[in-house]
Amino acid sequence: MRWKGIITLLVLAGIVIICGLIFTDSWLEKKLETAGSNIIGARVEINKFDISLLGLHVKWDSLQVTDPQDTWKNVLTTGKCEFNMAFLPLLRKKVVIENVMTSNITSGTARTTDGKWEKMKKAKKESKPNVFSKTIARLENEISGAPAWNLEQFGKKVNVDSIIAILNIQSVGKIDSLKNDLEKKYSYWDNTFSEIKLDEYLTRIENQIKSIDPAKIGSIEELQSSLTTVNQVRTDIDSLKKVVLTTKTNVTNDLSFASENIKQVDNWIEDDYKNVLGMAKLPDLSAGNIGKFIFGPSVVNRLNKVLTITGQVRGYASRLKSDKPKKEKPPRLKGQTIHFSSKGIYPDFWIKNILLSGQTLKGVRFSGSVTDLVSDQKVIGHPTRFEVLGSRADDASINLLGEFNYLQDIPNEAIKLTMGGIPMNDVKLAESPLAPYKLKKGTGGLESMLTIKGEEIKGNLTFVADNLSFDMQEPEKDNRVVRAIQSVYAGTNMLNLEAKWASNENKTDLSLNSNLDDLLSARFRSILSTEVADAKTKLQNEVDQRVNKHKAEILQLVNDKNKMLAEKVKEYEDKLNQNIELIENKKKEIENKIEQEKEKQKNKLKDQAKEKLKDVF
Amino acid sequence: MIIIKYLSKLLKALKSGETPAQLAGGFVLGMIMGLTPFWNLHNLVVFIIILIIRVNISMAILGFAVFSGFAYLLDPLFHNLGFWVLVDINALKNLWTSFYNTTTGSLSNFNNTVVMGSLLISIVLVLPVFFLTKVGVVQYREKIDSRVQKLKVVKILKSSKLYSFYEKINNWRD
Repeated sequence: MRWKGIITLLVLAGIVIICGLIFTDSWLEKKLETAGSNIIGARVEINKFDISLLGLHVKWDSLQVTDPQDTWKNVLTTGKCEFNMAFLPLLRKKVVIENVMTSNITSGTARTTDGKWEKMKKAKKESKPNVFSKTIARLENEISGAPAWNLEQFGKKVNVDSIIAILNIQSVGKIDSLKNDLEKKYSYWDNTFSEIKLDEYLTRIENQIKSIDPAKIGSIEELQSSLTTVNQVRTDIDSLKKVVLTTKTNVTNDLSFASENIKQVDNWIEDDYKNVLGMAKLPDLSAGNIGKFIFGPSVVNRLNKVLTITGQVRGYASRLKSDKPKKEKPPRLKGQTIHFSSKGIYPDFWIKNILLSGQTLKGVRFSGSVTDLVSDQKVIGHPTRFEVLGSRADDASINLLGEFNYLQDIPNEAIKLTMGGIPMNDVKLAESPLAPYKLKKGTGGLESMLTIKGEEIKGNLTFVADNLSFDMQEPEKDNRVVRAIQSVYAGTNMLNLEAKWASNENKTDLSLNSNLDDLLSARFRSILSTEVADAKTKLQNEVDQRVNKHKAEILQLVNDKNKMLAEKVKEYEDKLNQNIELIENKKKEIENKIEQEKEKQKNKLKDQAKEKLKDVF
Repeated sequence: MIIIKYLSKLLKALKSGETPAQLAGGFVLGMIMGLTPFWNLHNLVVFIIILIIRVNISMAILGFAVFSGFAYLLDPLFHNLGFWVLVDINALKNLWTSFYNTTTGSLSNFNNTVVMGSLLISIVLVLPVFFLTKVGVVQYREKIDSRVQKLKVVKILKSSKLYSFYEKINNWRD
């Protein structure tokens, strides 16, 4: 035993413990702030973090989380927070916290310093698209794909003549190019048929067969020789039949090619219609389209935020499950951590109860709880639930309920939000040229539900507001469309919006309807529909006029040539079959004649034999 | 300067009264620390063993330095071996799950593929490296040491004031 070594060890241990007691708080505070900032992508700050290693008591005075979208604002601020960690589970590296109390939670507060954070550059993992990412992408596509409403543009009369002047019809060139291709193919067959001279050959054979007349042939030898000639011709004609059948197949293929390609002509013309109408920027006046344009971005933006968070929660939950993990490529000397299921009573991480309270910037005081925030729900047998209730003196209320259930094999999430008595003063409904600038007065209520079961996402939102007064900002340029919008808002004092969404692995449906859609649509129709329809007809007529001549030419070519080639092939086939029939008949005729001659000679021999026998007896 | 100190100490150790087993023991323990990721529970144990039992610390540092380089090169092998042992061998799954749920298991970081892979390789190498080092020390003392002592560099090193000072303060541990 090396006693001096043991003493050194004890001294080292003492130094470590003393340093730990002195520096743990600031070291841990910095570690937590860095980790949090890296996750959020903006600065996370903890004030006066304190951990008591003896009692395992943790507390901090305040926590600020910067909004990554606006780094001069906090997305979350909390007041004092404290909790105790259980000692025995901690020995097994399992964090179990009985109760966390945090108060003075608020959101949207201004920051005194910029909360920008340079994220640590990590190798991005290729994540497999799931129902969340697919739904988010599809919803964004649907909204960005909706035709834009440019009020200034629609306020003017559609200038069809200026569009016609710069019209670039693509289908004419495509039709002419197809016509050239087809003409080459037809010309090839014309040449082939004239070169092989099948007509002459078949006529020659026909004459050759007809020239054989068994009735005029007297001897069996000559008849046998004629039969051999006919059989030889039959062999030749069989070879010719093969050639004709192969030619027929090739011609049929070319005719189908022509028939198939000619179908594209209408699609090309249809594309030209679309391009021309796109150039004219004619609005789609259907009510559904207007609703999606006004409220779509706001609804989709909020829904996608909720879906992103829910997807992340599900992702973390599934990552911590004990399923067979996938092999990763970690950086050198870092390795990959494999999680095993937590047997017994302690999961890796478990906050049994979080009690929270605070106030929104608009003065709604709220309180609530999150229960069983846990790394593996199956260990404790409870799902994670949260509930937040809030109210204000003017009867505005908020109620948020949710459950993340990963107890079964199919994950299940449900979130319900109810808001009532919301004062609508100064509320901006949507960033759309068709929406009012903001609301002057009124009250509203909202109910929304989102359920996700495995790969099935379903949900709805109902927003009803009444006693409304709309504030229409003075338009930069006054025109008839803007005036129409203003008159619609002046004539109504309520708003009813209903949104529904359903999504799975393969498709996403989003429907948005509001009372404003029908009102706006009807008003736009009354002032724009005739004009839009006239412009559409005029532009389509222009396209037709330029394309029709080329279309008629190619159709004529294909009809004529296809008919001619089909008739030619049929004619050869018929002639060939006639020749075959002729040969077969001639063959039978010769064979009968041979039989007759044989019979005749047999009888003659019999008679001669009888005569000779008579002489003997 | 530190390297000179260390080299002179190492040379002294190789021809000192310490047994070849003590030197080989230090080298092997240093090897374990070098091959496996440093900040882990098993390395704390190895470190305590080095300090407490009479193995040569210079040889432990040498072992640590040499095998740290190997560890970097062999990292993919450690990861693959660790993944295979932790994930692919189903028969061991219950053992790992039970160990994961113990205090020692959860603190040991055994469920990291590189820790598991490198520790297994270290364990496999303990005996061969121990005996090879032991033989090497004996051979050094018999055949190589006399030639090393005649080297100019060694003579300069030994005549320096620093070396004599270092020898004096180093005696406290013996």
